[in-house]
Amino acid sequence: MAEIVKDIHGNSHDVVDFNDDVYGARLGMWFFLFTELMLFGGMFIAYAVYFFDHTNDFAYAAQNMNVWLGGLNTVILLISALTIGLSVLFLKAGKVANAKSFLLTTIILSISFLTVKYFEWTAEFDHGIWPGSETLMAMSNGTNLYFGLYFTVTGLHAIHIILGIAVMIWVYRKISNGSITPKNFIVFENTALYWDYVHLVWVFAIPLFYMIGFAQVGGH
Amino acid sequence: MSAQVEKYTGEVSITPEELENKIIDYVKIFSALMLLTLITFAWPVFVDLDMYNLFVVQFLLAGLKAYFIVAFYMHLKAAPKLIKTIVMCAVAALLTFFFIVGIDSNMDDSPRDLFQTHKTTH
Repeated sequence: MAEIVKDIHGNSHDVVDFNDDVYGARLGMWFFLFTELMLFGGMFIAYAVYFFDHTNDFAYAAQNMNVWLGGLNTVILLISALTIGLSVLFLKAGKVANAKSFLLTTIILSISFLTVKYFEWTAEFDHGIWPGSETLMAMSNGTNLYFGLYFTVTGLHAIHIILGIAVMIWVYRKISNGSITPKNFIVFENTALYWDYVHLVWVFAIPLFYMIGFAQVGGH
Repeated sequence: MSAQVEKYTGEVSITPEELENKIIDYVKIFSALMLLTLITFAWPVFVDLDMYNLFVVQFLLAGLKAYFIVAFYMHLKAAPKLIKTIVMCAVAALLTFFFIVGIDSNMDDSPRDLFQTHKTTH
């Protein structure tokens, strides 16, 4: 039996199930993204401070980055943002099979991103570059700071990708068993919001860690 | 595309016409983002820039891409005012942090630095 509450004018209202509070769910997700912005934003502030102290070192260190792999990952994330968006649209339109196909494509693209990142990090490890390594410690403070920030930001970003994959698999299962439907899709929509945020972070990481290597800088 | 067809016969949230229009919109945004990505990577290869100009160009491009992602993919453009306000507050808070840290960093080791505790050489 539904619970009844009265508003200030004395009118009666049914108390709805809070699981159906789509607006609240969306609002909550945006608050979560607020905290995420502060997390990565804090790292970008640290980057800004050290960058202005060690501009040339950062530029030289960035020249060691593989821009092709960075570019490939950018395109992968870009396509994945489209596929997850299309997946939500197809689900809303009742085309469940199409929605599942696009979601599966997004998951595969996410795994591809991590694979490319694995090869990128492996190449750096092969050159003896990882936080605290002897090779890196022998280099300048600026180079150390650059790679420290690079591994921290891209590592944390990769953790977000892994969490995104786990959530997408969970959503896929919920679509399959009928828990997420064309009329009840807020969980999926919030997952897509999260994925777009992960994409957004990468959009700003690219100039900071890859593209600055192209700048014309003075003597080392 | 999956060969398995799962027929859904219940209520839907958007009509086939709306779906078609929204797909077209999504593909347009995707094309714009792809073009901006191409410019992001091609510009520094073909045009020699010093660090300041490179930073300006790269962040203008990143900002434009961010606008497309947030406004259209994340639907902020059509979101209620409260959600828009939250996002603006988040960005304002972050910019405030950047501003305060920037001032502090700029005054490091200057006569007005209240915390002259470290770092005299780089």
